[in-house]
Amino acid sequence: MVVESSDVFMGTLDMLILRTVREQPMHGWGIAQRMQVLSGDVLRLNQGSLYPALHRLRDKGVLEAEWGVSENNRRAKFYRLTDLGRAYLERETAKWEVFTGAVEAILRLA
Amino acid sequence: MRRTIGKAAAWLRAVGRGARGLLRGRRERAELDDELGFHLEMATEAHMRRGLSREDAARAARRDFGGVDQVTERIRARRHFVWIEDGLRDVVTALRGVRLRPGFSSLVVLTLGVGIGANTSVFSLVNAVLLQPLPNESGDRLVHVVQTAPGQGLDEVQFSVREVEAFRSRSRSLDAVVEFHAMTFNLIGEGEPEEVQTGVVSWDYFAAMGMQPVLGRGFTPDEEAGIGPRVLVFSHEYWMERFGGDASVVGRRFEMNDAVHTVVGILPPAARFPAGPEVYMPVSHCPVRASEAFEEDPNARMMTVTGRMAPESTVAEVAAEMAGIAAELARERPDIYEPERTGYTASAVMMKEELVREARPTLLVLMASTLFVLLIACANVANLMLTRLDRRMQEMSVRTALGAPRGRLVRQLATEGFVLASLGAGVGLAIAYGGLELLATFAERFTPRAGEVRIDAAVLGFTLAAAMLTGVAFGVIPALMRRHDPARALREAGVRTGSRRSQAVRGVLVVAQIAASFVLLTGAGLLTRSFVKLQAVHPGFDPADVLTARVAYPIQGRYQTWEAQDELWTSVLEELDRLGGVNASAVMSLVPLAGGGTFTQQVQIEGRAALDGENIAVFQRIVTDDAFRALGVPLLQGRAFGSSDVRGGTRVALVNQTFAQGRFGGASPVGQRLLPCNRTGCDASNPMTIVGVVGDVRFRGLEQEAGAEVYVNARQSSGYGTTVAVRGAPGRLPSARTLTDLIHRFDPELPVEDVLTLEAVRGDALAPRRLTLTLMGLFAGTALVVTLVGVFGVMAVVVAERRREIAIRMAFGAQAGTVVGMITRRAGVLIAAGLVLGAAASPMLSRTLEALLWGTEATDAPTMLGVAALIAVAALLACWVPARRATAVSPATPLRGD
Repeated sequence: MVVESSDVFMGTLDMLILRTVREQPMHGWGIAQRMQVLSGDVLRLNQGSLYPALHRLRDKGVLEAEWGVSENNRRAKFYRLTDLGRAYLERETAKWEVFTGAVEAILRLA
Repeated sequence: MRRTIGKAAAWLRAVGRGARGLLRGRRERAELDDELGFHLEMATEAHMRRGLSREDAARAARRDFGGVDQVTERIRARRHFVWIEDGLRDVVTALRGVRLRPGFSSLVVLTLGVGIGANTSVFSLVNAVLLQPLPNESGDRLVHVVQTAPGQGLDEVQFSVREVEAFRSRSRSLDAVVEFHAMTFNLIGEGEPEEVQTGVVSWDYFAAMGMQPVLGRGFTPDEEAGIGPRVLVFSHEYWMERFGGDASVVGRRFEMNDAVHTVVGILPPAARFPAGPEVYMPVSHCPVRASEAFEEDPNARMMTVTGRMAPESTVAEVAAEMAGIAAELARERPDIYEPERTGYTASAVMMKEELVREARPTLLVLMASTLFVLLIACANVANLMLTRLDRRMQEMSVRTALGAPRGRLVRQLATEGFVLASLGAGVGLAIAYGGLELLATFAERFTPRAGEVRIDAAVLGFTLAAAMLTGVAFGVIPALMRRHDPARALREAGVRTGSRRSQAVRGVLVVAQIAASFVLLTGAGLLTRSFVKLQAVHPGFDPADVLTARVAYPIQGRYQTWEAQDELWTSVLEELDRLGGVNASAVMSLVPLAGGGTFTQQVQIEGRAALDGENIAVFQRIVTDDAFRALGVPLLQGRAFGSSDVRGGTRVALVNQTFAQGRFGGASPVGQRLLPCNRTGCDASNPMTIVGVVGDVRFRGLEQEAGAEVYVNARQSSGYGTTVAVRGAPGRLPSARTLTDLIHRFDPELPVEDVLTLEAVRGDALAPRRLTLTLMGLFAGTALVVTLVGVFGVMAVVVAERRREIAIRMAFGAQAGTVVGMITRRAGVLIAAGLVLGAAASPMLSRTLEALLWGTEATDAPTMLGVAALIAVAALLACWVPARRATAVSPATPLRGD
């Protein structure tokens, strides 16, 4: 089964993006690739929707953007998690775990 | 709180980015293209690695991406307009809210409208009168030069001709020194002869004041010297009013003081200081000012002096220089100035300060009052919003739980606040526009700057600022004060009342409202007490059924002699007495309460000089026989004047009660003789016998007690007075027209002015106070009503919260009275706290108010207690209603209801 990104909650997409760039700054293409790989190709991101999300997150102050040089020596824009973003991610992750745990519990019992 | 600040900061950053984005659109677009371009390139290469041709790979990359242009647009639009868009959406939502809740909204808008309207109105006065620079070109350089003699208790001594010349020639810090005095002359030319207020001025007066004639020209140095034909300049107002702005008036000739004067110019419509004169003439044309005797008399002081500062000077320098010149004059002529005794000196104040001196305390009191009204209105609206917020608690909690950022919610509430405040500002502006003319009329009583009152950019700015501040005050603050605890709110779902915290906030607001109302009502109460006391002051005459009028003898001409005046008045009075319904008529030197008449005469009581040492300063009034009957002044001892007091016979006088008490104590002054005195001595050859004592009359205004007065019979004096008084039988008083026509029958050229009943004169004397009081009362009344609405609202919420409890108590047999008492007790605490706070805060207003009080202390205990009682009763009533209503409900209803 493949889940199209339009099915995913916007808040979830945000969370996934933030999680992806947590370890190191990445450019948009890299984020898209990595999310696909990490999800075992289950999540096929509509790549176009990634960029509005990135810009929105930057405007919110949870991401920072910076021009840099890509692995193949091209000029690319890298996104990095800010302190605010780190705290936000932690909070959202915790909420998510509670939520999914609850949903899972119900589904199992039912 | 920290979170809120963090959110606010993030929001501000976004706004900043949006704003910068608008400015840097092109560069951002290029960067975005680069960013997306890199992605597409990487995707293309990835597809190529899987074996697709470059062309196919590029197409596949684009397909994977979705519309590149759409994405670009989405990002750009978000970037630039997110905050505008959100703002607009908020406004639309808020407007929908306004429409959906017409009751709530109109209550808020009206409350704010009244608050903002009152503030805008009063600020338009403050702005025009106190804040704006004088409209004259040289307005900020004009100074009012004053001479003072503190040793004699004189704050302002006018200038003699020689003094004007001395200050003009010796001053370096003033580049123009001009003189002014007002005269009343008769202008004869077209239609009825007219008495015109005439400003007699230096030739360069208009230039110094920054008034360039709109038609014709001003005066010349030759005209000041009296060389060439006589000339006049008309004020713009007089020209418009009397001649309809006819340009051909310039060049026209009029007769004035028995000489032909040609109009040479018309002044601009700009404000003039002083504002009174209708016509201007050079100093050489004024028969009084131009006489050699007057020019040489060092004590003939009649002129006011205005100076224009040289560009580099400051008013402090000018004041110091004026004092220096005065000291020189005093050194040169100690015989005139007697500096040790009089303390003679001179100074200067900015013209603007001088013009607003009288108006300042009144305006400041009104401004402070309206600010209090606005505060009360804000508190009320905040309360209403808080109540509504509590009702929307569930909605808010659900939205918060679903992830709506709290900042967004605060912003939505703030927008609602701003929308309501803006609507309120609209209502306020409408009120201010409507009241503008009324206010200008009001201001006329206090300052010559009243004509400048308008709603200009500064006033609009003030209104806008007031609206925005109130928007913040009642929109954001309640929202921030509310703690959003979604879980708890959801738990409490169904209990449609506020948290403990919003209860507390509401209580604080009500306390503040009651305190502010107390301050305002105390102010109004103090003014009322002053007014009532003043109104109760017996002016010494009976104002009912008396008509008065003033005539103006031409300065030169037939009324120069006593005989001519006697001939006129004997006929006029005879004719008046013959009119049906006239009980008494008389001529006198001035009408009571009209002010003026401050010149005193020196007298001595024959044979008592050695005892008293100094002369007695008295006000001397010249009256005809029936004056006391006409005015209704009681005769206390002896007799009034009569036909036996003939010219050339024994000179007789009447004195007033103050004189009799002060100089004779309990003894009767009748039969004693008064000697007229001047600086060289007293004239024992010309005594006046006191034949009677009359009651005191307040000539100088209701506020001022009568001084020592001596009445002299016109037949035995050097001339008659200029005021006619006619007492009619009740309801049969002759009309103003009848009186004017009757006088004109004997002299059609004699101007008859100020034809007023004494009631009207008395009303005029009280008018400024009445107006201030009315405004203040209006503000205080509004404040009280708004406060009561607030108290009512809060108690209604309290009652709603305790509905179940009340129902249970009632079901178990509690008396309605007990329950009502329980509810009102809580209100009582708030009310008491508000009153205590108000009493502590009331000096804030009453200290400013002090200048407007008469016969009343700013800390007047009866006023404070009365106001406190009024507020307490009204507020308890306001909470008794909802309490009572709660007990009237059948106990089952609320218990079933939830």
